[in-house]
Order: sequence, then structure tokens, then C-alpha cells
Amino acid sequence: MTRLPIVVPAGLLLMLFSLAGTAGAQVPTDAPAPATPPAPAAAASTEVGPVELKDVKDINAGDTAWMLTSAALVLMMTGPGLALFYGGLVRKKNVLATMMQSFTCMAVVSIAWALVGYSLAFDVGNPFIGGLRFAFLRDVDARPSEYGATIPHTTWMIYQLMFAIITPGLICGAYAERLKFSAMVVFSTLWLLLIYCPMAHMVWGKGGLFNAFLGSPSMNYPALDFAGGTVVHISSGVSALICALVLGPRIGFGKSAMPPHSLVISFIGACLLWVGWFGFNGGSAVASNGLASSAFCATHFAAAAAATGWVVAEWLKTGKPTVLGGISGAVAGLVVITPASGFTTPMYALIMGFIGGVVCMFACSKLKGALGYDDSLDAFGVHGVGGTIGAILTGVFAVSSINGKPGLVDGNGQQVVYQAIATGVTWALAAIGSFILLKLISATIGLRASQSDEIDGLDLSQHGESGYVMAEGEGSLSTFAAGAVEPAHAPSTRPATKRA
Amino acid sequence: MKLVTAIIHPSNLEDVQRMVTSAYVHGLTVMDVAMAGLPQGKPATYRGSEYEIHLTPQVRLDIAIDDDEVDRMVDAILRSVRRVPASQFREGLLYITALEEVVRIRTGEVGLDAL
Repeated sequence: MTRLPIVVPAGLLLMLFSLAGTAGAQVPTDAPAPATPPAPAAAASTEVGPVELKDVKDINAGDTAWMLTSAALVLMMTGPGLALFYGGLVRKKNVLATMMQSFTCMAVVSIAWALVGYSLAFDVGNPFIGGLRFAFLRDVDARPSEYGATIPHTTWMIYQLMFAIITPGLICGAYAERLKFSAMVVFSTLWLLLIYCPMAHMVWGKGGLFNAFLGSPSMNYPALDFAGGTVVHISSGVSALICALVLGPRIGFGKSAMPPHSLVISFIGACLLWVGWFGFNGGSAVASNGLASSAFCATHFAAAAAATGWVVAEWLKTGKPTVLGGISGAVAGLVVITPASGFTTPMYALIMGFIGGVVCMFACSKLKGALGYDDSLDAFGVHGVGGTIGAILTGVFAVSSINGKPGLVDGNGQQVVYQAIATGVTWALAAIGSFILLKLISATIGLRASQSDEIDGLDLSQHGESGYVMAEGEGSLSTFAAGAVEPAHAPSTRPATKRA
Repeated sequence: MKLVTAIIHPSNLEDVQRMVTSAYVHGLTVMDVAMAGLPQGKPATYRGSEYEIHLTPQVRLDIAIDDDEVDRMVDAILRSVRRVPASQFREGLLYITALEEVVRIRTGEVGLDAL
């Protein structure tokens, strides 16, 4: 714990220095770019210009209102949504620690994003990672940017921050109940900078390798990812799998049942996630328009179909439709539709959701059991598997009438190939990056809580608090405990008898 | 007949319960309880004020058993709990009390038949 305050800023500085040389040169730093629309002639060039900033008079009140609302909805997905969903699924001795993990992402990731994360994701750099023009949020002001021509650049930046917060938060599901808090803080911060920012840049950043709208003309595999199937769900889900493998199982895994301590809490969290997802996908239209409405509808129908699919599959398999199955299915459907939400129709969304619900159900019950890894709360089974299904199916079910991008159903089979490439790169970056990060942390400050801390529960051992009070009036203030009260009984003088 | 009351750390419940029900009795009663007076309290904080928790969460098992089996079962419980490496999870007590009568409610059986 004592080394923590040094490690985090050191990691940030390392990133700053290592990138300053590579990316800074491409970007004019003093004068703001002229407020002209990107010229068609630019397409002929292989160079990617800087992110253009426009005039404040282009701001549209309706678009800005919707995007700020969406940003707030996406933050609500992490806290309280994810915190409640995961908090209810753990044992009661770990409820606070699990909620604190989501909350830490809200606090620490936000700082890293403002200092350097946003720039690494959304400045033009190379096809793999952004530069440093927007470091410390320089040039991020009320002027609209190319990412959203009718909303302030600050609105776009804060909206994207909410995605950056929830993504490392999702990984908590895999290391829950055993990763120590200091390791969690360092892992989440470095993971954001080394894995999330490059992923977000490749898919959404100007000049990014997979960006289908603003990609580099010289090096581009235009993949469709409307709201983060690769960037958010595959990256976090695959990293979750690596966490589960590197950390090893919880003490007693496979022997004790470890059932959720409160499905009531999880239920509330899952429903908040569903509602928040309308901002996640609907807001990814970056405008208050028909596309936002289309994505909103696709999102809802996919969640509904997946909840139904999971519960039906489980009902047939085990004879009981469970509440946990229903809410897990809804989340799986939301994951699956995320990359496709702005490219497909409600009918295809129903199909995608149903497939996602059934497949994720088998991933969480059969696959996990067969391979024997302890993904405590099924972060990989839902986000890794669901994200991968969603990314590939987006190439199948994209329809050009929605957003001008055809998929297999419109006769563009090539799109499935691009989706598979983006999926493969995301798997590789997330798996290799997370593995190296975990090994680094393991070699320096250590990853797991000690055995007795884990048995005691992370609430008390990591945070000195309990989620639920055992009996009113338990405990006394330290000032009284420290010798102020004499023991009421004298030690026994009876000769000891002992049972072997 | 004897009533054996075992107060053990919750992390031992799984093993003790499985061992007792597989080798000695068909059923037992389990309760969440708190134990006061263990050697060290656990430090905790609430908005900056530090306090010590003197009540430790434990579980209590009530086991009604034939006189002839008591000693072997008590030894088995001791072995099971003492296998845990960390000493704070070996805390606990066993009370052994004489049991006058047992009646199984559903059948009306009494004594050893009820067990």
C-alpha cells in the first residue's frame, strides 16, 4: 500500500514521455485549425489532418442536451448500476470492496482521462494510438469538434470519459473477492492508458486503424463498432479472462457454492444498467436524431430477446427460470447489440439478442465449468463472449438503410472479414497487454490479498468497514478500547486440562 | 443423548457440516451468531473515527447425538477446524450438554429413534 502513491503518477509520466516524441510532431499546437468542413480533396491524400474544431455557433441545443443526458446515463451504469449488480453477486463480506472497485474507476480513471487519456484516444496520432494535442484537455472547449459537429468538444470528451470509466469497471467481475485494493487501483489506471486508449483510438479516433468514418486512408480496415463492442466489451471481457487465469481461483472455489449474497441488489443494478444503456448506445449517434432513436430501439429489443433467450434455455435445461438468468441475459443482450445498435433494425436486433442470450448462458454454465477458471461474476462469459458474438454479427446484420453501412444481409460479406480482424486484434491486445500488466504488478506490489484477508473478507481487510452490521452497538471507540477499561474477570487459576 | 453445540468460524462451516452429516447424524441446526471476548478485536473506521469490533461473526451448530458417538465426533470436529492454517480461524468453543429427550415433530418418535 505504501508504494501506491508513487506508482500511479509514475505510470502516467512514463506514458507521457514515451509518446511525446512519436506523436506530438504531427499536430499543430498553437493556432486552432480553420473552421472549414473537411474538404473532399483530403481523401486523395494519404495524410490525416488534425482533428478540426468548428465555430461555437454550430452548436445545436437539442443535440447537446441529449449528449449531456447520455453522459449522465452512462455514468449511472457504473455507479450505482454495475456496483449494485456486482455487489449483490459477491458474498456479503466483500460487498463494499466490490462496490468500491466500481467507484474507484469513477474517481481514478476520470483523473487519468483528463490528464492524458482523452488525448491518447481521440487526438490524431498514428493508426494505433492518439497524440498529445489534447493532453490536459488543451483545445477541448465549447467549440465543436469533428467527432460531433453540433455539440461542444467538452460534451464529447465527458461522454467518452463515461465509457472509459465503465470498461475497467467491468473487469472487476473476474477478480472480485481476491484482488487487493492497491493492485486494483494500479491495474485499472495502467489498463486504461495501455489498452483502452489505443482500442478507442483505433476504432473511434480520427485516423484510427478500424475507424469506418474518419479512418486513415492509407491504413484502414473499416470495422463497424457503433458503441463499443470491441473497445468496451471484448477488451474488458478478454482482460477479465486473463485476470481470472493469472490470479487463480478464490479460496474454496469448486468446493463451496459461493452463492450471491443479495440478488435483490443485483436486480436493481441490472435494471439500472438496462436504462443506462440507452445513453450508451442512443448517445453514440452523437446527435438527437433518427439514428439515436433507431439505436435506442435496437438496444431495447436486443435486451428483451436476450433475457427471454437465456431464461428459456435455462428453463429447458434445469427446469427453473431464474431471476439471475433473466438479468444476466438482459446484460448479455445489451452487450451483443452494442456494436450493431446504430447499424441494424429492431427485427435483426431481436435475432442478435436471442442468440447472445442463449450462447452466453452456455458460456457461463458449460464453458466455465469445462475450463475450470474462476471468473467470479462472469465478466468473460457475458462481456467477452457476448462482445465477440456482437462484433461478428454486426458484420452480418448491418443494413445500409440505417446508417449507410451494408453487412452480409445487404450482400457485403467483406464486412464480416473486417469485423473478424478487429475482433482478433482486440483479443490479442487485451490478452497480451493484461497479461504483461498483471505480471508487472505481481512482481512489484503483489496482486492477491493474503489468505487470511481473503477469508476475513475484503471489506474489513482492505477498507476497515463492514457492509452489514452484525449487531447494533458492536465495537467500541479505540480510545476506550486502549486499556481504559479493566478486564472484568481475572485469568483462571484452575489447572489446565487439555483435549488432544 | 448429548447436545453438542459447536461455535466455529464461518469459513469452517462447509467442512465441519459435511463431515458431521456424512459420518454421524442426519441433521443439525446452523445459526449465525457473534462471539465476544476473542483475544484481539478487528480495527475498523467510520468517517475517521477508529473503533474496534469486539463481536466476531461465528456460526453455531447444534447437534443432537447418541452418547456413544460424542467423543469420536468431537475429535473429528477438532481435527477439521485445526487443519486451517491461520490461527484466528481456529477460534471457537464446543459445549457438550446432557439431553433429556428428543421428539421428532412429524412422526412423534422419541429418543434415539427421533435422531
